[in-house]
Amino acid sequence: MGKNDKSAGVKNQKADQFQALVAEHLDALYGFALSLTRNKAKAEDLVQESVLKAFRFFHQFERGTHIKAWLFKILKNTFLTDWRRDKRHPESLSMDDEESNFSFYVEAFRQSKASPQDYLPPESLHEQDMEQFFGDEIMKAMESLPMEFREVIFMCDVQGFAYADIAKILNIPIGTVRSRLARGRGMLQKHLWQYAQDRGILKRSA
Amino acid sequence: MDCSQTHRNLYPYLDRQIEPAKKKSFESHLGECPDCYGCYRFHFHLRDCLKKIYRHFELPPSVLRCLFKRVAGGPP
Repeated sequence: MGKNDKSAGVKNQKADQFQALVAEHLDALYGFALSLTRNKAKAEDLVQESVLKAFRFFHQFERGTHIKAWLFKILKNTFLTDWRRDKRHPESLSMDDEESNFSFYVEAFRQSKASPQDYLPPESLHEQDMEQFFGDEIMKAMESLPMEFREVIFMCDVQGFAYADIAKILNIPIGTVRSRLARGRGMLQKHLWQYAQDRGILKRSA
Repeated sequence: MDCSQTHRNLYPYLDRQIEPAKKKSFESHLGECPDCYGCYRFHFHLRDCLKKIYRHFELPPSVLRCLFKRVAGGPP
């Protein structure tokens, strides 16, 4: 076997190993990219750019560690680099603190001065009801969140990452992960609350 | 655990990050309080909907093929 053949063989082996490890996480990465970019074409580009970057630095990946978290971190950093390059940032981080305290149920109770069960009875609030009531509105609500909140909710609620993993991926303290989750979820609830009221799913207070 | 403590621990519970010592007391309150249980169910189902929505997305096969070709060193 010639020197070139041997080198090509090693390269193929590395590519095969890499593909075998990342293949199962590509849809999750795509979902994450979509949640960040809110645009299919940009999300596809972002996944490709991030995975190629991961392949270039594959020798730095420690075998046996959390590859999904490693890929998410690369994708987030790649997104941020592109995002910073683009001067048009419509999103702001300034948030009203009252958002974090908003509770769908507490608000229903306060406004109605009746039992929340009169409005969305817990016993009948099944999965189908949520989908039927809110449908695409949940996605709209997610997309309306500033990136900092959208990404932690995606990682925690959709992908099931632990707080510690999210903290590592985003390079922020665990306490910040917790507070961003609480604030983001509060905003999500508030959006759905408004929608439910507008559609008469929840009665307005008299 | 009372209602306000239950609300404070709702997210850690849903995220499986609640302190073990508080877990039993949290669950016990949910069993007794319909309002807190309703709140818990709302969040539980909301998360379920989010999972369904975002897990529905798949990287298009053409992008996948192109990506793996590039990884293998071939033209896109």
